[in-house]
Amino acid sequence: MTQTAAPPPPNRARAWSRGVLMGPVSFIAAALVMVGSALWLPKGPAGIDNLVWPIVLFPLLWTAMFLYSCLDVRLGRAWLVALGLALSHGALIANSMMSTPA
Amino acid sequence: MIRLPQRETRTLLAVHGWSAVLLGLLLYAVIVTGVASVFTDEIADWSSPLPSQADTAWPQGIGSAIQHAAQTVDPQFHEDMIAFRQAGGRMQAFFHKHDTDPAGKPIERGVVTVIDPQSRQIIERREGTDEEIGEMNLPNALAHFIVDLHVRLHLPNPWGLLLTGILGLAMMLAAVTGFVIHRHLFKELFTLRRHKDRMLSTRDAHVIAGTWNLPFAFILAFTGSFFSFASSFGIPAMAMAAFGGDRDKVIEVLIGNPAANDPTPAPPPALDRALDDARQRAGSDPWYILSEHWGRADALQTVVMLPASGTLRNRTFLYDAAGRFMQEKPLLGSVPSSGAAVYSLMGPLHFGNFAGVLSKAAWFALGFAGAYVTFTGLLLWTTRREDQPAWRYLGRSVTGLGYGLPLALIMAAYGYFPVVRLGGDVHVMMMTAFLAGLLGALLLANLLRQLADSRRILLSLTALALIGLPWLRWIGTGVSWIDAAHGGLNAVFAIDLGLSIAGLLCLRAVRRPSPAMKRLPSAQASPAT
Amino acid sequence: MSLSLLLLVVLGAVPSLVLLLMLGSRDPKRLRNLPRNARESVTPWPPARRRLIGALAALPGLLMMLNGEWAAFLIWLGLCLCGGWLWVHRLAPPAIGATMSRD
Repeated sequence: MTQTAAPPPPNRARAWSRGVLMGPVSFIAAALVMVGSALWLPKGPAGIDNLVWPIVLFPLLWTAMFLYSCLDVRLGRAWLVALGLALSHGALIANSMMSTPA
Repeated sequence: MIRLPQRETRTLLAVHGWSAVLLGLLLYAVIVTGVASVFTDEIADWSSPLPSQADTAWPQGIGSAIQHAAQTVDPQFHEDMIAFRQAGGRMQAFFHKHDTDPAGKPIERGVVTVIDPQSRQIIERREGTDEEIGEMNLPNALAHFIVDLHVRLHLPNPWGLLLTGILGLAMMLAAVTGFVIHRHLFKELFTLRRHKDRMLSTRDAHVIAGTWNLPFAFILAFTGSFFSFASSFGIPAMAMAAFGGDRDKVIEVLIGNPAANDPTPAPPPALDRALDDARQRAGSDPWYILSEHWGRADALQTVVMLPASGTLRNRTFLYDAAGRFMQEKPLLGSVPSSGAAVYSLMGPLHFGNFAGVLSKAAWFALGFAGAYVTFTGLLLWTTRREDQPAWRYLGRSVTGLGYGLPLALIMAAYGYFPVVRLGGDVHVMMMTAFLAGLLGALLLANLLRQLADSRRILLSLTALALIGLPWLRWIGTGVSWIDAAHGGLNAVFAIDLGLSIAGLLCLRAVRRPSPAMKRLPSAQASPAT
Repeated sequence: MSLSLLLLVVLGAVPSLVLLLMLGSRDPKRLRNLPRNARESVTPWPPARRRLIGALAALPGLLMMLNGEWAAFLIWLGLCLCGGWLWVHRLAPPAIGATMSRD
């Protein structure tokens, strides 16, 4: 009969990493997704849907990001997802800002 | 309800508890002030009534009164005009121009004329920036104090809004995690074991209130976060990302009004014609009217109506300078869209003001339940850890703030009415009285050995303050119940009666022990130091 | 607020609240946990009946939603949730004889 492995001892670095991911990183990622999605969402008949929907959904977006970051067992994967979303939308925003006259 | 693996349940329980503990006291303050804010219009009417209450703040001919008021205002401020109902049914017309302050921040500068809708006379005039004019608004000062505390905890923008936005997120997180970790939602829906030990009865009180309040906790948290983040963060960020930092451009796109540019001088806009037409189309009263480019051929009048009976949404109509109907438009954008539809629901869902007193009463009760959930949750957490000194201090603060915040809000009214009678700086007086009440309650809870005694004293003081408030209102405003009867001042009666009943209920609660605050034997009573 | 809205809300909320009252009175877990001196001589309802009564209690709200009466629906929902919560407190035995034991 196989024995189940004992849970690994708590790892401070891992706990800090998880905390940073759940806290500032998921907030910043959600914020970047909110702003960046205005650049790819359809504008709709009044030309405003791409602005309104991301702002309206931001609370849900953040909650989903936060809960995912704290529940995904694989911390590395959670970081990849958060950073992937943040960087992709951040790039969209940077591109738009550089090409839009002030 | 939802069977999660143990690890996930433990994680979510920790998230639920810690997010609430770290932000719970501030969240409680936002919720309690939100409960009071539901009746902000009625509080304003109660605290500053006119001698008689008009059936409507928008009687026939009010547009002419506003036009007449415009003649007394320097034409430099005729760029735009916004008119809306204020305390006691007063009609406030703000003639203004768009300006910037020394720091470059966009402001509005102009003249406010306050009109009595019955006599159509100007009864007050204030001049300055929008912020300065707001500070001088004595009739609405008490209502604004409560709302400002709720919206931004009296902190300067954007920090106050960001903080309340974060608190809204915390509330939503608590609602979602609470729903997920409570495995027997329906099985325990009616089970409140007050007769069992303190921990269990406190836990039940919290879970029961949280369960029954869950849908509205989610709605209020979600819409509240939206309102806080949209103006403080969402719109500026959108402006930077997609409009080169031009916030005015974002607003212009969102509002969707037709562009016009014909500065040819023209007679003042025909407000009465527009208002009459809007009333017929919507079957309700106006909420506000915005008149742009006053006295120009390209003048545009936007009339936003209150929801008609049985509906949730405001309707918006556009009129030209001559008061001719141009189009109906959504609250956002120039044509209907999903974005406009969802935005138009956020207000009614958060404020609960779509069906007058009936919907406000429901929202008041639900907000009260939300405050109860937060309070009992904090009590549960600190009671479980009361053998640890750090948590013991928090427990005392929870009791102090929990029972002290409502008292402090009432004290703000005790700071308001003497100023109405005798003069002085109303904002300083209200804040002083509020902080005195709050700090006094916290001090009491930390000095007394027994939390049950703190609770008893604070509830008694709250009861006395509530029962005394109608009398103070009478002295401050000079409006007796006989005057109120003659003037049809229903808000005065209703709120005076409500305060008195609330005071009696507080006295009744004093006599009933709280299961969470059982009197501890002397040896176990937490020392004050 | 019109009379018709008030009537609609009352017509929906009254039966829903009555059914919630009945559900609470016959709730098995609540009855099991009553103290000995407060035991009630009522039999708890089986799950199937409780589900039926619960569905019937929700029916007025569903009908309001289907008819687009959203204002009435929201007020109905608020009244039912608050009423249910108050009823739980009304049904709960008083806090007497509670021990100081910790869990």
